[in-house]
Amino acid sequence: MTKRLDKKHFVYLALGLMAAGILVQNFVTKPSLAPPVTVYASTAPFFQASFTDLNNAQQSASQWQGKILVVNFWATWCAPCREEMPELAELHAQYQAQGVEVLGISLDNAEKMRGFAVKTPMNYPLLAADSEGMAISASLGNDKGVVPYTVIIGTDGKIVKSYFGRISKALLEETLQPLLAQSLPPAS
Amino acid sequence: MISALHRFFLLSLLILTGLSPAMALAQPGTSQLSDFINKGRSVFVDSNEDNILPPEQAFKLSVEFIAADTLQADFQIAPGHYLYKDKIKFTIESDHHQFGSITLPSGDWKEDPTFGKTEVFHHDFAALIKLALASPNDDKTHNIIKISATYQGCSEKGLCYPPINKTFELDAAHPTTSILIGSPAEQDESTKLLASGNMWLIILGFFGFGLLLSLTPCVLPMIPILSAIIVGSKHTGRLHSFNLSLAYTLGMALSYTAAGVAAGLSGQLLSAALQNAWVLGASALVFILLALSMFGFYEIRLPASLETRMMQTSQRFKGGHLLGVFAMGVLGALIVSPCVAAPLAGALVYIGQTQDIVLGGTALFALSIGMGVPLLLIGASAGAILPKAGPWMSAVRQLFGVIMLAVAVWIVSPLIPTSLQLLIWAALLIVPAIFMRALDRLPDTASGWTRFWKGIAIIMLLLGTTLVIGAASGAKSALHPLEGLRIAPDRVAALPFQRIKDLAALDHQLQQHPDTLVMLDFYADWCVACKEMEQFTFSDPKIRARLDNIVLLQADVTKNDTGDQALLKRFGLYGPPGIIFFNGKGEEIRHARVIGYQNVGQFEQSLVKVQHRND
Repeated sequence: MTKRLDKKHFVYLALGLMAAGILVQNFVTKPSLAPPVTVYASTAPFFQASFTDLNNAQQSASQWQGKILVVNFWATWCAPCREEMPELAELHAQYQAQGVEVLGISLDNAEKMRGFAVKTPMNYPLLAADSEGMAISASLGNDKGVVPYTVIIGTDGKIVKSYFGRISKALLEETLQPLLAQSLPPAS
Repeated sequence: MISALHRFFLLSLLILTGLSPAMALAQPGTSQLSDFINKGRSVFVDSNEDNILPPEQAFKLSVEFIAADTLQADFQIAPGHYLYKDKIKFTIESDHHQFGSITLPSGDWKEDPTFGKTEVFHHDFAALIKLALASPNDDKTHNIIKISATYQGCSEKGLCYPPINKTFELDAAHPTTSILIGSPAEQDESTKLLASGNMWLIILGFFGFGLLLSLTPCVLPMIPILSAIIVGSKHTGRLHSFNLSLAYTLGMALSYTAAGVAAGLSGQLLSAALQNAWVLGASALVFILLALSMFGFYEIRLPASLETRMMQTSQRFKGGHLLGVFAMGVLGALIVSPCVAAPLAGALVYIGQTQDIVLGGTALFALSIGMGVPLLLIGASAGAILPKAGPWMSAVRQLFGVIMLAVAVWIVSPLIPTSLQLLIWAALLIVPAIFMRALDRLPDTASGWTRFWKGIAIIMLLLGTTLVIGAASGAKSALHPLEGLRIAPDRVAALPFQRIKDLAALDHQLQQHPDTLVMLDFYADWCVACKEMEQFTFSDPKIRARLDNIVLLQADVTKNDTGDQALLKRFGLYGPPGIIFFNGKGEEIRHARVIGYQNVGQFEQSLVKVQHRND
C-alpha cells in the first residue's frame, strides 16, 4: 500500500513538472523587455545626419546635440515598435522640461511615416530616415540590425545605454534618472 | 491504472527531453578539463546572454529546382521567430522566365495588437514556385535564372528584422545547384564539435557509466538470462560462449543506440524552448527526481504488463543460436530494469539537450558496450566468473544517486550564488562520507577494503570541509575554495595587463606602442583555462622575464556584451582563452596564436617563436 502511495506521489510530481514546462513555454513566448546593454560606438555619424520630418522639412540631428537624447529606431511594419510608442510619448511629456528629447527615427520613407502619424499622432518628433536608417542605427551600435532599437545619448554626446528590442517607460527611466540627477546643478 | 500513469510519466519525461536549448558553440582547443566542463555547461546555458540572433541566422532561405519548371524555396526559421506571410515576395530578374504561380502553405494566425489577425510562419516551410517558360531556348545563357526573395519577420522577444533581400542564381539546365549571391555558406557547428577530441571524452564517460550500471543490483535478473544462453548452447567451448554473450551485448547496444538517436532527434525537433532559468531549473529537478529513485524512495520502470510481455517474447527465442541471442539482447534492453531506467533517462535528457544524433547514437552505444563488459567476461570464462551479489551493489546504486544530484547542481550553478554552490558541493561530499562511516570507529578486525573506503571517506570529508570554509571566506570558485584565506605576500602580483574594452581601445593601444610586440589576452571569470594560465604559467619568473619587453593587453569578456563580441569576432574566436600577438606595425603575427592552456614550458616556446617570427 505504501509503495502504491509513493508511486502516486511521483506521478503527481511528474504532472507538476509538465505543467511547469508548459508554463515555461508560455513565459518564453511572451515579448520580454530588452535589458539595457552597453555598446561602444561613436555618435558622430548620427549627429551629422539629417532626417525628413512630418512637414517634409529636413531636420539635422546636430540641433539636439547637448541634450539627453532617447533615440528610438522604429518602422511602421514593426509591431513591437508601434506598441512601445505610447510609452515613449509619455516619457517625452514628462521629461521634456528637464532637457530630455525623444526622437523617433523611422526606417520608412517620409510618405509611409506620415500615413502612420495621421492615424496615430505622437507628441515627439517623428523623423524618416528611409533606407539610410538601418546604417545610422548600426553606427549607433545596432550590430544585430533589429528594430526597435533605442539608444540613450548623454549631454556629452556619448552613448549611455542601448536597448535591443521592446522597451518600457520604466525601463528607460532607470537609466535616465541617474543622468538627470548628475546634470542637475547641486542644490545650494 | 498504475501502468497508465506510468506511461504518462514516461511521456512527460520524453517531453522534458525535448525541452532543450540550442547547441552552443564549441570552443576550440581550450585546456582539456575546462573545455569539457565548459562544453557540457554550454549545452545547458547559452553563452550569449541576450540571445538576439543576427537576421541571417534567424531566417535562412535556400532555393532549388525540384522539377524542370518548379522551384522550391526552403525557409528555415529559428525557434521563437516568425515570418509574415504577406511580406514574402519573389521576383524574377530575367526576361526569358516568368512565374506561373507561387504556392505558400498556410501559416499560423497571430493576434497582432497593431495589425490585427495576421498570418505568420513559426516553423520551417517550403514555398513552391512554378515557372512559366516564356520562350524555350537552347541558348545556355538563357538557362540562368536570377530570383530574388524578400521577406520580413520578427522575434517573439519583441523585436523585428528589417526586410531581407536575397538573390539566387539557378541554372535551369542543371537543376541541382543554386548559387547564393552575396552571403557565404554557413558552417555546420555540430560537425565542428564532432571533429574536436572531446567527443572521445564523452564516449569514454558513457562507457564508464555503462560499466558502473552493470554493477548495480539490476544485474541480478540478467544472470539467469545469461546462464540460459550458455546452458542453451550445445557447444560449451569458451569461444562459443563468448560469441553468444557478444551477440547479446550487441543486440542490447542496438536498442540503446536507437534510443540515443531518438533522443538526439527529439531534441532537434522540439528545440523551441529557450535557455532560461526555468528550463535549467526543470532539468535540474528531473535529475533530482531521478537521483531520489536511486536512493530507493520509489522506482521508475516500464509498465509491468509491457515488461512481462517482452520478457515472454524474449524467452520464446531459443538460446544457443547467435541470431536468437542477438534478438534476446534487443528485447532484453527494452526491459528497462529499475536501476538502469533512471540513469538512462538522465543520459537521454543530456543527449536531448545536445540535439546531436551522431553523438547520441555513439554515446549510448558506448554505454551499452560498457554495460555488456561484465557479460562478456562471464561469457569468456564460460560462466566461471559470476559477480557475487552483496551490499556493495546497493552502494553503486547510491553512488549513481549522488552523481545525479551533482549533475543537478552543476546545471543550475550559473543561477545560484557561488557561496551557496560551495555549500551544496560540500554537502554532496560530506553526507556520503558520513554514510561511508568516515566518523565511525573501525573495529580492530576491519578488512583492508573497509579501511580503504574509510580513507576515501575521510578525504571527501576534508574536501567538503574546505569547501565550507571557502563558502564562509568568500571564495570565487569550487576549484580554489581557500583562495579567500591566502595571505597577500604569498600571491605573486598579477601581470601588468592593460584592460581594453572594445576594438577602438585595441586600435588605440596598438597605435600607442609602435615597434613593440603586443600581446592580447582574452580572459573571462568563468574561463577555467584562463585562471589556470594566470595561476601556473604567468606567475613563473621565466615567463615574466620574457614578457618584460612586451606590451600586455587583456580583454575581459566575462560579460560577453557587444564590445566583447566584436573583439572576439575580429579574431574569429568563440571565447577565451586566446592569446594574440601583434608585431610592431599593429598587425597580428600569423600562426603564433596561443589557444587553450599552455604550461610554463609550452608557453615559453610559444613566446620564443613569436619573438623569432617578429625579427
